[in-house]
Amino acid sequence: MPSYEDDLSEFERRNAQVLGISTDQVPTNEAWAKSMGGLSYPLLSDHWPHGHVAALYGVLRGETGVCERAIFVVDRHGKIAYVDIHAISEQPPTDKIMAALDKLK
Amino acid sequence: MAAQRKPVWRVEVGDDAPDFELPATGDTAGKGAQRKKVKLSDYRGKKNVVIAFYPAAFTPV
Repeated sequence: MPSYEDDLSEFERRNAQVLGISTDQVPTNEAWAKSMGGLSYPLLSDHWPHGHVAALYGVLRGETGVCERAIFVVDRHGKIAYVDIHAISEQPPTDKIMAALDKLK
Repeated sequence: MAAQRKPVWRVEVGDDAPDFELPATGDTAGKGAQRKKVKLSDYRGKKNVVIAFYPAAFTPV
């Protein structure tokens, strides 16, 4: 998540809003963001009903109750334009996210 | 790895993104912005959205 802060101007240039989502509670996310010096995008709390949005997107891990590390690009019309369900310990490649955004009108 | 456990349901390219509204840190996280709710469909017709699910705060990556 922190790396998206470095790429913020690239997201803005592509008219893209970044939304981080985890099953943490809001105060936890606030404390984490503060510890990193703050973020220029919001962190959303999918805490209760626990992980219901992650489940809607098919990325809730049933055995641990956390979500996958996953990227969904949604275009201005509300359609899914790109999906990357990634290895949980690795950063999804930002260049592919940018390439997906570049294809959108 | 995601492939180890096949999910029953997964959103795919071309699908309508399931709408949601969640409590959030505010437009900027950790900079003192007032908490608010964020609704995906509020961006419709205005902005592309990059939804980044992550397992937990205070973890690397």
